[in-house]
Amino acid sequence: MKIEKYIDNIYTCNRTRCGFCIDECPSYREVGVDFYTSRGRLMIGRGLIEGVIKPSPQAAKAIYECTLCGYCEYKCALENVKVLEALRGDIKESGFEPEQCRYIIASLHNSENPYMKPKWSRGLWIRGLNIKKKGKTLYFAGCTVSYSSYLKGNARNIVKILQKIGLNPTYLASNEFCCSAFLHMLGYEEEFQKKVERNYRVIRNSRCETIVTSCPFCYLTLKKEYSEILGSKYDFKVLHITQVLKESIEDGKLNLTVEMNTTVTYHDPCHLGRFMRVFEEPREVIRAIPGINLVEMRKNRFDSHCCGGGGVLLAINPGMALSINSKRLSEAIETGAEAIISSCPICVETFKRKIKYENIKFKAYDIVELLVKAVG
Amino acid sequence: MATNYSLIAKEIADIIGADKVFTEIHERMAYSRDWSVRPFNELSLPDIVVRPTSTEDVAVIVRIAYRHGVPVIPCGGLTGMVGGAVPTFGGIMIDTRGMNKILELDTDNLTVTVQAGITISKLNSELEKYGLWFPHDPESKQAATIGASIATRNDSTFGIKYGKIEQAVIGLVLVDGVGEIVRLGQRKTLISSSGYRLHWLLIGSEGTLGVITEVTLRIFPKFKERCVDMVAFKTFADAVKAVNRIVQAGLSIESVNIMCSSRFQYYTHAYRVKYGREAKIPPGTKAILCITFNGDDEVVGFSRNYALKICRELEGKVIEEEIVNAWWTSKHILKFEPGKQKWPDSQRAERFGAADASIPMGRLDEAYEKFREVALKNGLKILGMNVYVQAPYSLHTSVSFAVYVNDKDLDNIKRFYNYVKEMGLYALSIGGSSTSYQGDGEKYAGALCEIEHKDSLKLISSIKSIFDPKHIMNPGKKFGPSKWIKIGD
Repeated sequence: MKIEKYIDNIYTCNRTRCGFCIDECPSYREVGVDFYTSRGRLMIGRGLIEGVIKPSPQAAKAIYECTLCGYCEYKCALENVKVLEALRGDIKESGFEPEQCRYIIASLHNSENPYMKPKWSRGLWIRGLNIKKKGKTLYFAGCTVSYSSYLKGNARNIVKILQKIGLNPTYLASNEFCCSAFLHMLGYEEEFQKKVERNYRVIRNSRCETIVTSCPFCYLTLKKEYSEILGSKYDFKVLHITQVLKESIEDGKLNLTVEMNTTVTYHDPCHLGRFMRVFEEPREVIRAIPGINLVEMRKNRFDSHCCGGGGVLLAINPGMALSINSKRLSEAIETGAEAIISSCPICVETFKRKIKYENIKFKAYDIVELLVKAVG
Repeated sequence: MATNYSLIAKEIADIIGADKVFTEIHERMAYSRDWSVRPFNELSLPDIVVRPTSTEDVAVIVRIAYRHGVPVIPCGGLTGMVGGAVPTFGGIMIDTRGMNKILELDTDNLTVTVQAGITISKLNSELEKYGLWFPHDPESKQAATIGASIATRNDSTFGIKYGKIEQAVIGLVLVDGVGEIVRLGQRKTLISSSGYRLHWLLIGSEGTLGVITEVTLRIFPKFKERCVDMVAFKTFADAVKAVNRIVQAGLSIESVNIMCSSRFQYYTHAYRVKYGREAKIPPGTKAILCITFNGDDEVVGFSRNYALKICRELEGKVIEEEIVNAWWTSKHILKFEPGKQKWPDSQRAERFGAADASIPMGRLDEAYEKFREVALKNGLKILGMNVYVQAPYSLHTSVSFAVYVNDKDLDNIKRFYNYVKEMGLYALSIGGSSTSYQGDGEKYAGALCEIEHKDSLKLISSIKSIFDPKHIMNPGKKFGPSKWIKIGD
């Protein structure tokens, strides 16, 4: 069993029961029972190891209805998220993973994205843009930015900004792959490792030195997970777009000239913030926009609540995901801001979707969407 | 005839809704233990878990349990240290955290009425929006509920100013062991000389009299400033003398903790993580006094200076700020370095286990020596002693005598419980109490209570029977034989 690797984590939690992981856990806030907390899920892990619990569709539900937001890990000292991913792996092995996961995996294998979109249409957004075939900086758009109808124009804007600041990125177009974070999240560790090896070869062939992405899932996976698997041969510098933007503004390469007299709040994406600790760069970029007023939600930075879009919850239980999203949106609206800004395509899409469905008088923007307006 | 729990679950679900009733093993597993010392692989599974959202739901559950004569175990955050919310004999576990609403906030009379399953942290984050504060502050506040704080009578950091939970409870709603809904105490004022103070019977009742479902509490306007200090003393007696002088001087002290030097190292985990070294204290230190003051800036500043002057006069040595901050993080703020929270981080191999007792203030040095002697005799490694002060403006103590326990070694666990028993009996022998914040729970069950209250045992039993005639409420706690501790062994 995959979770046996984490047996010490499981029994440490079993003997501790401190409960720090409960109150702010997004899924606990929805369901309100102990088996929808990290400590409850680790107890399911103990049950599986000891053979007290047999895998079942019901147990699978408790394991998969989690956004993997990492709040529990931040409040703990254990590898909670890795245990949760391993638990998913064991549930998968026993044949009880939710069917949506199987579709996602099939889509990843067949067309290199989790959204069941054709591979050939991945790079359509590039039309009309003059992008180099090879270069030192690779723009890695990722699946969500490439396909989401809520983020149309986002990838083009990023490329234009990167060109404006002189980075002239290259792009893999139809060779671009899914970073495979989804494989990882769904417990397909072996398949993930294989994809990493293959993806590494594709990146190496592009002859880039730096990878820039606007997706925190890709950022974490390309920067941390790939490194852990590939070791020193994986020597690319991986940056999130907000880090590039912050530096360019500071260096005077990017001038923000258009005044935007508005109040906004910033939502920390879990994978960029809590996991990768990129908290200040996006805020500094927003603050650099003339006339803008940035206000904080009560739960920010490490304490930020999840948007509901993580951990494949949107596919597994969209009702729960959007309810989590609704809570976060309320926190944003509470600040008196006119819009919520984020730097993750999944967060932004989830906010935009909720706002659209419920006709909420509030706006959600990707940080680049905002920045483009300020550049003029 | 074996109890048909499937039938009981269906009966409950038919009335309160199937979405509030859980019977699958993976659902019950999370409710099989608390933070008590028990074998690592032990399971005490409830047969049914129910998550009511109202007093009426609870009444339905208890009435059904009463009819079938099955155990009812109310639970809060499940962070208790004596198995108080562990289903010793199976039965119906009531997860009270579904009752987590604020029912009324009365800012004119400074009271708040809540459903009992709200956590202390959640209550305070709501009160904060109105500039208000509920000062009851156990370290488990992120998980501990109001109902469980009443039922366990847990310790509070700010006990020397605001007392234990009984000082805060104005009134409450109880579902007794028959399933009757009873309102006890008052609604808007703490003070009454009418009838009996029946709501006080629920303080430390550990779910044996019924399920607390609603509570009205006194609250306070949030203070503006707080200062935190630590002073090293050569004896516990010196630290006690300092606190008594501070109270005598008329200072409104907010919190007092007195730790031995080993416990101090445990509680400066945040310092070790941050600075990568042990927190240093002056040589010869035996007791570290930790004090806080809260209020307006000027008052806090004056109080601090005056208190430290008193401490220095008694040869106390003030400890550096970084160490103080790390301790305060550990004790109250609970904001650790991300991924370095102290409890799981410090319990990977051996776990924390503690005997808790109330020790008369004049005998703390003696108690410290006794603690070391009894731990050593039982072959246990010392983690340290911590004195909490829990009565308003008087040094009445709740002491934690902590050791390390290996929960993979049954013999080690048995020795731990023998140590706990000896410390409890010692506390009784010097006029203290055998438990001061953990409760009797599964640990003692009725073993020590029968000694501590031998003259009033009949009354205690009668009270239990009035509230819970079939003895279905949390059996195996406070009454009857203990699984671990036998007197006369």
